[in-house]
Amino acid sequence: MRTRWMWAAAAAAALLTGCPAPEPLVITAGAGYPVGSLEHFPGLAVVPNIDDDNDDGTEDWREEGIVDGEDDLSTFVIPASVFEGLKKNETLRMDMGGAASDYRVYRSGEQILGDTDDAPMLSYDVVLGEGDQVYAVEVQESHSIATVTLFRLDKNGEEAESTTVWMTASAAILNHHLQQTEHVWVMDVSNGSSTYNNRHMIETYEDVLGDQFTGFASQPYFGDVWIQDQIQFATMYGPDTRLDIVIDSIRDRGLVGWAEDFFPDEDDVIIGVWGEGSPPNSLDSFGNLEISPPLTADGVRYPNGRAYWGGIPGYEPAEEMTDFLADQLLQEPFRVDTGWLCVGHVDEFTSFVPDPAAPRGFRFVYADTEAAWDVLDDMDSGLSLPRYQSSYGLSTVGAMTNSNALASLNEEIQEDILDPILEQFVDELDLTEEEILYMPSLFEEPAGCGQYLAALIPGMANLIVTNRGDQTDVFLADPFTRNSSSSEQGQGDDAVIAAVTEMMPDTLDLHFVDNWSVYHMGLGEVHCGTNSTRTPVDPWWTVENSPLQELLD
Amino acid sequence: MRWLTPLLALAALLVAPAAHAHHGATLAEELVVLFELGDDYAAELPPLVGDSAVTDAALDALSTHPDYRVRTQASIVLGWRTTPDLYTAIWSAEATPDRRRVRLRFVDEVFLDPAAAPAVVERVLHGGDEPLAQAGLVMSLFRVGEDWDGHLLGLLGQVEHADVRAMAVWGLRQAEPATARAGLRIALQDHDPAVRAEAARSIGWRADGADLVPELLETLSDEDAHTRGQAARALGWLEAAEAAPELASLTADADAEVRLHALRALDRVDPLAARTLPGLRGLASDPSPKVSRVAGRILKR
Repeated sequence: MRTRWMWAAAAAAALLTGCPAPEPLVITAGAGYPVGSLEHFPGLAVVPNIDDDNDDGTEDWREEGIVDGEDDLSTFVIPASVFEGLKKNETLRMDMGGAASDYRVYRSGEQILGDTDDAPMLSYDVVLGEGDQVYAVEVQESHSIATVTLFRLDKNGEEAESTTVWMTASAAILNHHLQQTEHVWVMDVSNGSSTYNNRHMIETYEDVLGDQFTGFASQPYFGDVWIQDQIQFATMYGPDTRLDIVIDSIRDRGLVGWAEDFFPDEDDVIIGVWGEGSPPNSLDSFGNLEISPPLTADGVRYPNGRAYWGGIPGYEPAEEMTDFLADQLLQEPFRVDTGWLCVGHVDEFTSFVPDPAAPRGFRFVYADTEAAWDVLDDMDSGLSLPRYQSSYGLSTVGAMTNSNALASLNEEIQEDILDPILEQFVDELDLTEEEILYMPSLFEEPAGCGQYLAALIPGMANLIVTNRGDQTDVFLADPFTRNSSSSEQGQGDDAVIAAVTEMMPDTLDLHFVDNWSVYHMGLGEVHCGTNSTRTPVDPWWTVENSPLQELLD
Repeated sequence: MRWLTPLLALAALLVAPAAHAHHGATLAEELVVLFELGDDYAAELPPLVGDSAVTDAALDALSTHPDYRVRTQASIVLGWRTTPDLYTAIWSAEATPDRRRVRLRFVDEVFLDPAAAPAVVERVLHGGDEPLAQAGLVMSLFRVGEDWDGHLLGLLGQVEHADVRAMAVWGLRQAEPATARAGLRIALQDHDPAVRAEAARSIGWRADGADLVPELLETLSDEDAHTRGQAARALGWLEAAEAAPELASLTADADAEVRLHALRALDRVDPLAARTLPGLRGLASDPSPKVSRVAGRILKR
């Protein structure tokens, strides 16, 4: 029971706090910590010092002392008022408990508590002085928990009063769609042939995002446009510290090496691979790993949302990766059935968009075939659909709505696949009906996929959200459910676009981009071909009933 | 591309045609032999392309020959003479992988040129590509040019790898009726269950799939469970009422996928029979959650 000592220390501290003192004995930290929050688990948020800020090729934790350029230490403060409140001959002592060997505490650059080559230093007599005393904290690995208890000792050296702060090392936390967007990447194949290019998508991103967008060259990465699948961005962070993590997929296709090219400095970003050595399958792609916005479900607060990934028993992502995700605790992942899809990724039919008017600030976007039929059935059945004609042999709206096979397939999918999965999401995330947006979607059996499915109408749930200040943009596939082969023509006459626009929150600026030739016909959509970094802000360190509580059990 | 060197040699021969001996065989027979050649194809094609005794007119006349092999090989030889750039482009094109590596796509514009179809067929048969790329080449034929489905039918009898044949079968979903029927009947007899299953599935996608209901009924007793299930599903989609008794029997199949598709299909073709199926309550507690869900839904009606 690794934390039994903590409860004893806390109980002792509580008993001692009954003694009156002229000034309260407190330890404080920065503005990111509400008053009193350090005294409760998780307390001080500390980022594992696994990067290499001094660029010497050695992980900073493995070096003695604080390295040059170090920027991963958290700090706490004994405020001046504590020293001013001491009576004559009273002193202060700090004791360290918990995983002391995973921590080091520094005062003025000198280590005073925690890990050493021998036994950890567990006690420190505070050198009394004037002004605030700042202590820097370094930690070795995620989820390590320690405490520092500050004792006021009377003139006889007896413990007269104490206060305890908790310290918890950050997990690797995955981004969700409500976070501010920092940068967006897409492979640029805008100069491809007339039948294979993402020109409109690139131009739209450039127009909307400006310098926050990079279209990167195709050639070094062998045309592997699926950047969402190669990389999952994560962060370990506290209020004043942040370490970016690039989780590099084991899928190892053309984009292998992209992370090293774009994030070459280990003092900024850690690149990690989980599952190396496992034979990769489609589910190891990170379009198959998504995260809900922050929410509370079944009484548990998820300050960074919940992760979910797709698979079925016997066909799952690499176990080392799913174990890693589960071990992070905070975003408590769950598995969703994607065994019915040819590609098999959760981003093919689910997403989230911000909505300040929603009960919890977001809506769940979910593929729905009935929503598609509702729109199509109201359309002119004779309306030509040139994109569908060339790619699917479906020349008109009527060719879709009169296809018994298409209707049968999508009815089966709705009743036996989509509806049960939605029930699971409702259960796992405590979703209410008003939080769900039903995205018009139809599925087909693509050539080469046997009985497994992909989007027929370009998958608009497969979308990207960017938040920049108060501006929120959503990039999603142009459905081309109109008599036009160009995204620059006719979107205003497209009934499906109209229905989606009507359904989506009006705080979102929607951009329907032409992702047909490169992505849609390649069994993916906008989200699959895009990746983004986001700013971590959700204060996991102030939440007491999060899944991190498991660390105390 | 291992063929690039022979192609260059071919180009040289086109400039300076050489005499070619026919050894007594007719040109049509010679074209069939060439079409079905294996590793020697690369060596045997250039002499014929450069043979001044074989006129363009003769090849053009054979490009409508009733034998698929003759007309396709005649088009190929003629194509190498008249549009070598197009043929070279097809042979040198590289595939683009889809999001999941179950498919490769050939996305160059040249693949939309109907005249490229014989070159595509030639590369499928003699290009030495991996099966995934061969299947991608077959996929590039879909709906391009007037005789695209004829190529699929022709390839069905020629390609070795089941995945490539299955791709050709998928293409028959939108083929002209007679071609589709012929191809799907052949595919239902394929020795590989993946091809048979694709055929059963593809029949269900055809508006005239009812023409092949007898064949689907036979397929309900296929030794391969997946194929049986796909046949059952297709019969349901085609609303083949005559299939109800067999579908009812299949709801007791040992394989869950078969039970699922049979129950769904029975519910489509004869909802009353489904609702009164003796084993329906048992299916509602089937070990497969998908089967039990469908059975439960029927019971609730």
